[in-house]
Amino acid sequence: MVKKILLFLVVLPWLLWAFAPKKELYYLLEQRLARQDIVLSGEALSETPVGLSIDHATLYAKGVRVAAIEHISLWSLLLYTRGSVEQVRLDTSLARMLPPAVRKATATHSVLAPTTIALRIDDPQLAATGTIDLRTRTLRLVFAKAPSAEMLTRKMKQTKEGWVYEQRF
Amino acid sequence: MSSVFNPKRLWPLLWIGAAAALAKVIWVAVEWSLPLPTAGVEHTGSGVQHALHYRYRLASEAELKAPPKPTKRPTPKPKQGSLAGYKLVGIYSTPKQAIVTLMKGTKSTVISTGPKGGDVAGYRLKEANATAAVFVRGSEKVTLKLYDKQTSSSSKTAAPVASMESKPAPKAVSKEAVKQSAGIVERGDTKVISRTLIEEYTQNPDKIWKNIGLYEVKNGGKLDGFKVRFVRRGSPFEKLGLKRGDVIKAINGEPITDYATPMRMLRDADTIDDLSLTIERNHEEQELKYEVQ
Repeated sequence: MVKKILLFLVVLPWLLWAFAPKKELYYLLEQRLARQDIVLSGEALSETPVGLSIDHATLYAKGVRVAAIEHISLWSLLLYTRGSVEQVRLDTSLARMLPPAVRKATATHSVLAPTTIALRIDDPQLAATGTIDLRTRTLRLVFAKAPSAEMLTRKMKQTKEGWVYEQRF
Repeated sequence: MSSVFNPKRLWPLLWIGAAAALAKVIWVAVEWSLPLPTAGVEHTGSGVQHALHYRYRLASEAELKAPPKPTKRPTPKPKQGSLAGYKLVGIYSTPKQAIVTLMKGTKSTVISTGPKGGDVAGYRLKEANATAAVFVRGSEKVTLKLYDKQTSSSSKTAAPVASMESKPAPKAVSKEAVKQSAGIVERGDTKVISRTLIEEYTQNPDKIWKNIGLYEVKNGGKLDGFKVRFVRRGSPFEKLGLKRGDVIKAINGEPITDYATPMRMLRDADTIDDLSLTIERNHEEQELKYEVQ
């Protein structure tokens, strides 16, 4: 009987996640972000048992069109969670300050390292790996080569690993 | 009789089915007690309609019916003087037009070729090349060579700034000269902003916040401009005429109701020729106009 109850308790969280109204939860998240003037607009949503896909979204921050994002994918197996954005094209008003496009950026979280989110940017012009340390609230990205955007490079340090960008939040 | 199917094997499936049903019931209860939104948030921006860069005052009906009054335009008298003491600090020349920046002491003046190009001490700009500019006043012709700060600082016995020449030099665009003319200069009543200065600021926005402090002004929870917290002395923003306490209400006639308006200005920095800031100073609205070159 104990074995069955334990099995039930292990399976229940997965089933809760599988049956979650993911679109509605996403809308709730959108409402919370909108309070901080961050809006994802014009997107098409599609649910999967383990996640959510968002296509053709346009990101606005404080009324400013920041970027067009072709595809966002969020999925979780509870012990391992992964979010990725693909084909991000920055708006021309920001393209002077930041790299104009990113092919793919991925963030992953695993229970094996619960206080760390691993980051990876796959782009021929802007390849980088990094982490977000939730304990020290630090973002650290290591770029293979210096990005073309002068604003970013001025905030980086050149080390043996590559060009390092660090930011506390 | 032996049983083909053992009902005990169904138990795990029943347990999983029960858990799935429970999960669904939990979510139904959550949705019922905390109504989740059924639609997302969409951006409702100002759209694509932008105000004109210029404002036009439309004539009233009475003005249209009244016979036009002849207006006498005073012919501007050129100021007489000499170019002694003037330094040629910047040249921008194309096959069609040349623009130069002259400095005397701390005051700088921008003049260009053509009838409306302005004059300095009665001299008009005739032509310019990469290293020199030719000025004329009547039959007199003066050539100023581009002022080289390095040469001047290293050698106090440098050649005089102004020299008399009559030979026209070939026209060319000098990138170095354009760089040197970066900044804000006054041409008569008009302030001219160098495009290179705008580009410099758009590529390094951090520089903006070292020279000017702004904070949001909200009206009924909506953005209604930016108030100037401070302006660094000697910075381009001081030269633009901005003062502490001013509220920037509009850019090029477009009210600042979101961040999109200033960002649009940054995006169009390459193409705009005019810039106007509507500011509120001491409860009065004023318009600061600039040219971008």
